[in-house]
Amino acid sequence: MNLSNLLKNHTALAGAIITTIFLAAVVFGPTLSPWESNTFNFGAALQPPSAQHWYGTDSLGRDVLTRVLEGARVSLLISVGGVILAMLAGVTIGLYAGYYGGWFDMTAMRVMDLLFGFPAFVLALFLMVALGFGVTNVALAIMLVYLPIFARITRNSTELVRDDPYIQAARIMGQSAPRILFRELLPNISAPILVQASVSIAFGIVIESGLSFIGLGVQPPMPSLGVIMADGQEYFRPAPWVMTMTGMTITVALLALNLLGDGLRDMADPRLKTREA
Amino acid sequence: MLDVRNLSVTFGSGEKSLNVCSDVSFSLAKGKVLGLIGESGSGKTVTCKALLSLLPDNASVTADRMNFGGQELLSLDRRDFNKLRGTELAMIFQDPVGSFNPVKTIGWHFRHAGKRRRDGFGPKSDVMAAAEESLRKVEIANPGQALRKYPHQLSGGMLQRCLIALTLFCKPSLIVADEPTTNLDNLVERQIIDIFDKLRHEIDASFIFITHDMTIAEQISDEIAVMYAGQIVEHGETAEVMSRPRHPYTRALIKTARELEGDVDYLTEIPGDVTSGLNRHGQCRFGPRCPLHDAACNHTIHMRHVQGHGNVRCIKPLIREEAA
Amino acid sequence: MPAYLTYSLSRLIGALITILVGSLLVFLVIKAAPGDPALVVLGDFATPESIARFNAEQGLDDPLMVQYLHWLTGLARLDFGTSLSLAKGQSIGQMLAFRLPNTATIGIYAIIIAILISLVLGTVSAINRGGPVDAVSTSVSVLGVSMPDFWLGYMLVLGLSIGMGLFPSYGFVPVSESFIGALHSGFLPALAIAAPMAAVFSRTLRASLVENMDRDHVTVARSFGHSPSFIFIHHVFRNSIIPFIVVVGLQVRYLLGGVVIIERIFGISGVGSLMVEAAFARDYYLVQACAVVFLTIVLAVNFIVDVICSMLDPRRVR
Repeated sequence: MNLSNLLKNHTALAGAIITTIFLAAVVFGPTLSPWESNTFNFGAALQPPSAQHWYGTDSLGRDVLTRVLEGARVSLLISVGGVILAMLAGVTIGLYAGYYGGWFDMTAMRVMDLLFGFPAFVLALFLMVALGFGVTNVALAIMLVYLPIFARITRNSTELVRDDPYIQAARIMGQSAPRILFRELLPNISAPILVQASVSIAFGIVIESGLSFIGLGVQPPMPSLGVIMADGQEYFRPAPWVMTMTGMTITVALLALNLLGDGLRDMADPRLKTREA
Repeated sequence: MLDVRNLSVTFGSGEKSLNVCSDVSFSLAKGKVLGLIGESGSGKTVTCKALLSLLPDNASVTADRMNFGGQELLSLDRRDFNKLRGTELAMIFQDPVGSFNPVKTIGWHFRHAGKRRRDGFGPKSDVMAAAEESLRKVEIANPGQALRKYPHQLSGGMLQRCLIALTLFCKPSLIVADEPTTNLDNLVERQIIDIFDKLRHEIDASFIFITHDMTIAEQISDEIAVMYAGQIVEHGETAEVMSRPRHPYTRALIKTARELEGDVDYLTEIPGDVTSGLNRHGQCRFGPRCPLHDAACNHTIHMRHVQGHGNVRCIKPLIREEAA
Repeated sequence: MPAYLTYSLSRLIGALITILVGSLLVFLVIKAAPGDPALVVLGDFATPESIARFNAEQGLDDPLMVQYLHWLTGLARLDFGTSLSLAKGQSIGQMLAFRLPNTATIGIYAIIIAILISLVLGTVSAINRGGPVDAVSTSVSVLGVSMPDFWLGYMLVLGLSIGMGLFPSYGFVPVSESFIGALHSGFLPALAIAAPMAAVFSRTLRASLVENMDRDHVTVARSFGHSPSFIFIHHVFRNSIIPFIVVVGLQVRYLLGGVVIIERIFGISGVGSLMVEAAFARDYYLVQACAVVFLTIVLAVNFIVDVICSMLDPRRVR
């Protein structure tokens, strides 16, 4: 998996390019935009997309594109935050479970299966009720949704390579377990983990949007993609563009991440093509 | 019953094309066994797959003649050819384990093979009875039970016997066996070869037996054809070829085979490898590895008939009596 | 006992244990959550005495384990307790019984649509491997997976409902009232959920078919002269069904998640929208019950998929 490989793989390349553009837009967009995301301008309310307002305006006259970019920042941060936490915990659990096996493996995987048994959204919803609404809790919810997936992927990969010669050599040389796991083993199984990470960030955005959309996630006035869609829903009939454009943006972002994930997966091992999000 | 003249198979096209077989010609009479010998990459499997039209789409097959029982195979379209497969032309593949559909029982395979048979069957019980009989012929002790099993429940040796029985079930006239014992261990290999030996006398079909093992070929076949780099380099009666090989390659092969059986201090090696011989036109393909090679060999070598022997693709066939 | 029956039994026991532990987890989390059921029911200005009385009545002073067992045995009798705030005093079991069929209808509808679309798309892609149809359907699949389903729902409403007036944009006619009505009013929500699933299904099916087409036993079957359609059905398709079914089973999790928002958007009275309403109303018992119901459905589906696969693939039964 190196740079020249990436360039040859069209899917991964397309995904990487679009993701980069998206990230650039999200990071720099709101600052570059001539519009403030929270200035009300009732005179210009509910205008369809035009040269001035590429995404149109919402019911309070705010430029939708600027809001979407700011909202994307929030959604992305939450999703990435949640996924990183899930990776930290899940990969660690998976490494130890796959390496040692035995009762820890069995118990840990049982617990993971249990977590996995709750539909993602139901789990997230449940946590919102238990912990209360708000940004950090959404990230926590995303973490719990993806924790079992990372744990299982890591554990399965670890189990496959745990008896490879270089691992045995490290053991014989007396290296401590954490060192073996994180320095020797982990880099070699990182491919499926990274693929899963890109896919999880993508769907994490959907989870966040969904939660915020029904009002259980990020709370207004803080913008997030879901919050903006909720705004758009109220005035959907007269002004469908708010919802449409926001959703399209999400779709493009997800498309980019999925293509990137697919491309990475193809580069790492073409035989893994049967996986799903 | 089988007459092949100037068969040639090329994969790919243009610059990247690979000529895997060229100028392959032989005839096979009814009831005879032809042992096709060669190293990996010599083109033996491709030749036979070409006969059965089992090559992928990017392979182009040309021949002056590919005549089977009076029918010209090249002129048949897909559907007509399909009618011949299984019922007249059949092939036993190298890996018995992968050759069966893992989610179906052995009996299922027989049942559907039975539907292909020319003489047809009555009710299902007839097919199963015939299948059991077929399995008994390949020395499977409990045929009824075997039919009910799934492929993963049987050993490699058992599966190969089932595969042989299945192929013979449709009573084809020509059977190609592609290294059927290579994947099996020695003891089982012996048993399977003995079964083949027995069957070839019982059935009046013709066989092409592909192998890289000369001792097996010696035991089983009536005629031997040696292939190298996509061409037949020697073809004659088994006893003749084995005791008085004319082509340097054949001689080297036999020598190494005997050495493996016997007790020697070191084994003779044939230097080089087969793949350098492919795509080589206008000269002898074995040249670079041949101890007798010289400038005279740098033109297209054709098969020539050697008196009292067979055909050899060499301008310096070894006439001297060689101790086998 | 046939091998797959013993296998099924062990899976069943495993599933039951998981439900048990899962319900315990749900119970404990709710207990640990900030918020007091008493206040929810009685209001924020309730007097300490009324709170104490409420707690005593509800058994909230008992040790945790006792409370859990009490609830658990209630579950076994299908008594889910009573709603705290959303529908005060009403039996949760009744509410669930009313709402479950609607969720089930939409869910089954969605899966059927997804399976039908993907069978066609996946098969055509595999047969046409590398060709234009394959490329198009792969692109469509990637797109399908990238769309948030509730957004897709709105787009469908925009196009097919507001735009063309073909389908209602809100409200759902239960099957009990009218089958055709259910099919009609349920089409858009079901399609919204089905699209991403169809994308995943068809990619899986395609990959599976292509893999099986290259297998040895297919070449052997060709050498026996079986017709291409026979080979496709019995040697390629039949062997590809199992991964397909597994993926269908896995996607039920996703389906149940999607149902939650879709029900809300389209105004369908299902368990999903019930859970959302309960969340807003801080109706802890109701949320608890819904969570367990969802878990049970997922586990039940997993179990069924396991059993079906063990029957279809003799190698799976150990």
